[in-house]
Amino acid sequence: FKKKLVKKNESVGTETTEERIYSFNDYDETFVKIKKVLWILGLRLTRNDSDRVKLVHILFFIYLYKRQQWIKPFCMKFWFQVFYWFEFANLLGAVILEIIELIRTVTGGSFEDIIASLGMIPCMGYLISAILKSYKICYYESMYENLINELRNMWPQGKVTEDEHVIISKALKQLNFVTTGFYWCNYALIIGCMLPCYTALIQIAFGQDVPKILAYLYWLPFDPLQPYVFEVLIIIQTWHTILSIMGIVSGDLLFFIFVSHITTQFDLMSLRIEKLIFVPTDQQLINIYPLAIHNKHKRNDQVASTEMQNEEIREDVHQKELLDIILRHRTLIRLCADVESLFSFSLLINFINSSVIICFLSFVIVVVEKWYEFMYKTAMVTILSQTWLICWFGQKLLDSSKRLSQALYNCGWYTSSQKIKKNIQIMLFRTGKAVGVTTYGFTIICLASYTTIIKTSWSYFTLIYNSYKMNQK
Amino acid sequence: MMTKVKAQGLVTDLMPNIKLMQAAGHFLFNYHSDNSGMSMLLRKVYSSVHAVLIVVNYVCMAINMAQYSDEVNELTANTITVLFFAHSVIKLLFFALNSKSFYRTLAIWNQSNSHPLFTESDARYHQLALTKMRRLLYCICGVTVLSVASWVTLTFFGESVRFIANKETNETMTEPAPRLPLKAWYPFNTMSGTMYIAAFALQIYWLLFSMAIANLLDVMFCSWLIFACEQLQHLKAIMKPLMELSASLDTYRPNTAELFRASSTEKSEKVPDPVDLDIRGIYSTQQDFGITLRGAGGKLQTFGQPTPNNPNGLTQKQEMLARSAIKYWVERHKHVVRLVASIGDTYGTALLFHMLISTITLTLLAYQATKIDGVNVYAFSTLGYLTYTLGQVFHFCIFGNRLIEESSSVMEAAYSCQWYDGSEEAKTFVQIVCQQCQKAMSISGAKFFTVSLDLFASVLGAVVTYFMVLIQLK
Repeated sequence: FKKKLVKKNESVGTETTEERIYSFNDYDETFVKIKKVLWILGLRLTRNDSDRVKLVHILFFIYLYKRQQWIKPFCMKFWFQVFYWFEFANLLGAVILEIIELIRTVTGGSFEDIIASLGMIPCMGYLISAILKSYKICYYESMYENLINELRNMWPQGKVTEDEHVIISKALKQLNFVTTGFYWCNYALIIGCMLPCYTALIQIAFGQDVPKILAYLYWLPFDPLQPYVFEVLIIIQTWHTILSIMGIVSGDLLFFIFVSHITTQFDLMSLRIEKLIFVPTDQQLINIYPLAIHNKHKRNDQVASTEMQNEEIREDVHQKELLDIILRHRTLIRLCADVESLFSFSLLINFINSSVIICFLSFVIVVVEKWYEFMYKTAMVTILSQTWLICWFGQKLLDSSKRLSQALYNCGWYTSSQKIKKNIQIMLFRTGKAVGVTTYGFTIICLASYTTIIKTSWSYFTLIYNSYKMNQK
Repeated sequence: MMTKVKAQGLVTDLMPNIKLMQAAGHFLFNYHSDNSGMSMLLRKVYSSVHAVLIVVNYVCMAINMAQYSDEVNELTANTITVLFFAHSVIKLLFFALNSKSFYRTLAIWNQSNSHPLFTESDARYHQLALTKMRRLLYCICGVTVLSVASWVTLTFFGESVRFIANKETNETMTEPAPRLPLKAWYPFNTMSGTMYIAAFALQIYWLLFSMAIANLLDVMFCSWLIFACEQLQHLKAIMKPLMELSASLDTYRPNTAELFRASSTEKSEKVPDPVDLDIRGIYSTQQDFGITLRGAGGKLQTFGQPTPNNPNGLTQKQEMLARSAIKYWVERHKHVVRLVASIGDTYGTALLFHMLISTITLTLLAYQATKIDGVNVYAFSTLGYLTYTLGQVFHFCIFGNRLIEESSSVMEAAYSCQWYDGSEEAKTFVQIVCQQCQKAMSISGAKFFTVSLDLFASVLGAVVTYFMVLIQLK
């Protein structure tokens, strides 16, 4: 509460005077939604728990103390882990039940039953995705924390220049838009999934004779349509829906946020490189060229220009700045490798899932679902846009790392000393290879891979549809 | 607010193209000498009228397609025509929505850097680019007019019928249709009489203008690519003198005075023929050829104190010239890269749409081609569509391919000059340039594909494959 109030005053002040002041608050704000999602799942992102959580912790500790029970103080981490494993067991249980039911229908049931149960495959895909994504966050907590902190330290503080401001504000706006949209769309998906069951329930309560619908087909040793069992089951299924969708949201949002921040840092670094070396304007470098525009502020600085006359001082200044840039470049490459190791396997499963799910969803939409029902249509839109978002962010990362090599060529390297030229050359070698995230080594994540997924799904869909039509005849 | 832009750089070079585009009805309102409110309004009205006529006639064709969609052959033929002219509508709309981007690309080369020793070479390659752009424009204009003429001529051959599917017997019958170049639904009866002549005239106008709209925009894109390629040629050509200049800084070389005299022998070649005024009033010789007539060789001072360290006895001014040559080269190369990036941003989406529609059209044409059974109107029209569509794709693929080749051959040029005799500075320059120019500059269709001859080959291969498969199935 206090923080929010202070922030509000601050932002009013900064908006009127300078719009270009950034602080750690801007960085931390990007993580607010993801922390909410993770709290539902029982995962902690950083060890800095929010005030509310700390309060609970303190109260609990006081309670234990008063009761003279000197139980070894279970820290928050322990309780969170317990909560998480309980939810993990839930999800795993749901997957197993659905698989058993599917096997039973495929081996025993009629053709129509099989078609109806094909709708379960997307659900299973979702559950498996959710399990994988949330598991990684639990297991590699320290790595996530390290990523967040290192990126936090790189965040620009204080006043930034006009072009930097453009880059940062654009990236933050995009990220905000994506996180908010993604977050709320997935809530809509949860509601969309559970709506039929609840409407049926309400209708029955009002006395209408409507069949009871369960959202998912689990294999259960007892009859699910008994009076009290049914209501409990509905609630449990709602809880499972929330868990699985939140699991996927958490994994994806973290990926988006990390990649977005790394991309911003690459772009800021490109800008820094282009402004590195001062080149005087003349017939060969006319005023309107970008290099001249970058160096405009340096030209006006009297002290800097006298410094630049002396070759040695100039070389030292450039060398120091270049060293800084090289170190940061290496850090960013290492952080990208971290992101890759954390996310690549789950993204591979995600991509395989997507092709399979899109194919089955389109089949279900075309054959099974009626045109006024929206459950599967919403799911289709969600999974298409989710895959597209992943590919789009991956493409952004690739592009921003490629822009580095362009920036290195664009800086005024030809007026610097041999030593600096050699350094820049070696950097050119490295930046020639773009930095990106791969799906466990199979394909690099970019927009081209998105078209591959859609093409694959389309071919699977036509295959299944044609065999269905032939079967009908 | 339309800013009055002084015609310079690319705009001057492309003036004939721009004027033709304005005449054809594109929403191009810049680059007029007279910018008063009245004439601006007139121009907007002119473009809007054209746009309305073109879209209305296109919609009539689409209505005709929907009307006679029962019979497969009729439907296929109408779909091909509708898709064929979709290019024009899309390009008209694309330009109207994206004109700022086009203006920005045209303005990129308004000012460029210069170096006293390389002005001749610059002007020479600029002149080459100009000639090629002009030749391309004439060629494409000629092809457009020829296509319209042959289309209208073909209308008068063969029976003027359309196919109808008989609902009871499921056979195809023929029904007489008006003898017009394009099948379209009109609210009035066009079988004969004055209405027929009016519809015919409208369709001739429509054919000419819609083809012109699509083709002129493609010509502008290709002209930009020609310009970029010639600039790269210029950069490759000055690589050798640049190396020699740089070598003269620290090793003894004979005849260094020659290097600093901007080659006078080439001057005489470049004085242009003043009679070469193609379109009066559109093209101004003074502005363009002024540079060569002035010449830069005379500006250099050969007297002055020679600097002590120099083995060739170069003066300070000459040394400065030698050092600034690399700066000129690198800055000019960056300028070309910016130009190509801007071209890609401006026209990439239009290329994507073009390729999508062309792919579908070519698929249908392959199907139509399997039904050719002799030398008749059907054969000619199908082959005509096929060649025209493939020709359009080939047109921009070949220039895109040339750009890729030119930009990757800069590395070859850098290697084939005498870099081993150059100074350390020159060697580092060659290193960095070779590194950067290994990646070729290319135009991509909104990141989905690269415009090159590979693309054309894959399109052609796909068409041939479909054709073979369909023939087999028959």
